[in-house]
Amino acid sequence: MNVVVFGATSAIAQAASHFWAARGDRLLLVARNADNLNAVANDLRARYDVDIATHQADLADVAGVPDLVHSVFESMSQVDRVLIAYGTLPDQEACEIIPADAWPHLTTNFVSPVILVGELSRRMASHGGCIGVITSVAGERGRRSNYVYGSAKAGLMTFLQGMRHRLHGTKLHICDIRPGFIATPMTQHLKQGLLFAKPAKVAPRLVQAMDRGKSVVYLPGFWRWIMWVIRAMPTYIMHRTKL
Amino acid sequence: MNWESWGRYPRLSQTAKALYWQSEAPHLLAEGTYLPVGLGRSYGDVCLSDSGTVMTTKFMNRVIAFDHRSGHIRAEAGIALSDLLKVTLPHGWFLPVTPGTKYVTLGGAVANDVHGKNHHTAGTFGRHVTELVLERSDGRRIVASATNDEPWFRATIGGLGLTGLIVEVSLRLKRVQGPFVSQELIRFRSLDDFSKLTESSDRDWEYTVAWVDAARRSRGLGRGIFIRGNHASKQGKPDIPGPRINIPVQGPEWLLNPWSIRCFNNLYYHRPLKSGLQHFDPFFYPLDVLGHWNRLYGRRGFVQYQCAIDDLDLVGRILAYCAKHKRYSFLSVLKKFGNQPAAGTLSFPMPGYTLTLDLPADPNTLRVLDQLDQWVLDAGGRIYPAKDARMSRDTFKRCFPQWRDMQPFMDPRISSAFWQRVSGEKP
Repeated sequence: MNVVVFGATSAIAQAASHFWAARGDRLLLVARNADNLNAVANDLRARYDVDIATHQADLADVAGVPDLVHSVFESMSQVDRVLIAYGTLPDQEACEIIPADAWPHLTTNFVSPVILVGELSRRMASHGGCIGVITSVAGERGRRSNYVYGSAKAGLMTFLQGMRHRLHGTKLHICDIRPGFIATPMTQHLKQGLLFAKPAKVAPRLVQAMDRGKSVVYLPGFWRWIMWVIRAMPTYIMHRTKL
Repeated sequence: MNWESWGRYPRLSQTAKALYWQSEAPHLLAEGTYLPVGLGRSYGDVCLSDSGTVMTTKFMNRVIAFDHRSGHIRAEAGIALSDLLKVTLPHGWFLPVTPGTKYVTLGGAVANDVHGKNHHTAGTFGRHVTELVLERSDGRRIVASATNDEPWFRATIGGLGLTGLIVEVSLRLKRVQGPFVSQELIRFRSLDDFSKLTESSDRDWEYTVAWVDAARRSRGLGRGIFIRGNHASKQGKPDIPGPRINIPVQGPEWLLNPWSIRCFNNLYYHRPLKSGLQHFDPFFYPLDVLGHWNRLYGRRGFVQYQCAIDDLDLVGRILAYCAKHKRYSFLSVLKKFGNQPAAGTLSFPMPGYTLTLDLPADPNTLRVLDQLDQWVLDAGGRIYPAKDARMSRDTFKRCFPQWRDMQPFMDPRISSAFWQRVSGEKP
């Protein structure tokens, strides 16, 4: 199978790439930092003896996305799986003081993947496959601790939902991957409690959900129930929490 | 992230930051001094920072290149030996030297210049390292090997992580036929018997070590089980199991008391011995099946005392002295080192015997160990820094009179609680 990973140096993407490489899939990794990208690719090559291609690109550069997709499909004629794993976590408090600080984050977390998924779906519709997009449980309800991040993810989730509706009946699946707390560089500053999961532990579930063409998958699975409670929580209780 | 040493003594408040990439500069992530660490399997305070900031490399764990034919591997320093084996063993390559746990990082193995059951044939880990890449806190990168920047190479092997952040390690692996070891277990009744066994085994057996019953007062003093093994040619799946049982919380302090430790040692000595083919994992890493076994000692934590002395009578005197003061070691190991020259400036192994004792960290233990230090020093021996949490400044300087040779190589932004304690000055 041919797999393309956008944001290949993210911790979850690395773990998933290990999984794909171990089963012999061909990988094309796209990331911004060339040194880190090479480190990830070399690691996969040395461990699994597989074909790994790399492409350095900055996904925050929204205007460059269509060309990027074009060159990806030039180097890989057929794509079966795409994982979109890049994202940034804005400093919520800083965005409250200077609202414009949210802009680059909204671009990277919402505008860029919207264009990317759109471009990909045009090219993948005929052959089929699965596009997996990492969103977040933060997008399911606005909460004071991270609603700037959450709103970008919520927009993206709605976009994916609509696209899934449009593609219903075709061979192309859109998988909305919603991680809870995963121990990654992005969450390093948070106190790591019992709810934190390791990327390597959740990667098999991610890969499996994409193989099966699932619509929504939580990582780990128990977040489905946690989010059910959070969504169902009456506002007057929610507002008394610091969540 | 919380951070503690494996012995959980001393307890110092530590903040752990994680390094994920070689492109990250650790000196920009922290203010003041810090200490690069791996998985925190050192027993005492060589893996604790006096400033309170440690930088763990355990996520900087990528393989850079692996040549299946020559058995050379180059990897980032944070890779665990358990992970490295997953990569190399399916191709018939094993670690040239391995410590008693596979949950240490490559960088940690270099920084402590660890040894294993094959010290008499292979020397220490550092002897098999072909190149190191060191990142200094001023941003300078030093590529050191036996032929290039050799003084840096020698200072970094066994250098306790103080010469800079070790970012890459190149290692020459050892060819094996399969994942099995043919082992023989032999009960011995005294240290004299041990001596005969080790003299007669060290030529034909690649791996030799002895477990000693350190809970005997007089009768049966120095009895134990001699373990010897060679890699076997039998093929098999190179599985690398994780811990089978996890100790989830720290045990109560009374759990490991003189009585229960004596009982355990007695049972262990009399257990039925089965020689023959053994999977490499339980042979090399018997304790790895118990995740977090260090929690068994409870809140107080424990100290491991490992000394090297060229005098078997002294080993007997140490065991007798500990027994007299009811300081029974839960798990005690005795091994005869070989004559290989040391790979690093501060490398611990030297010709002679090495004895390892696990003791609960309490005032009585510390008093007993101070006495042992005196005997070890008088015999011209050494204490192993990777295990130590309590030796005095004077003891360290007499064990390692070459410690001053390290000064020119110390990174000014890196410091450990151990070094602060034994050198008496900020490096």
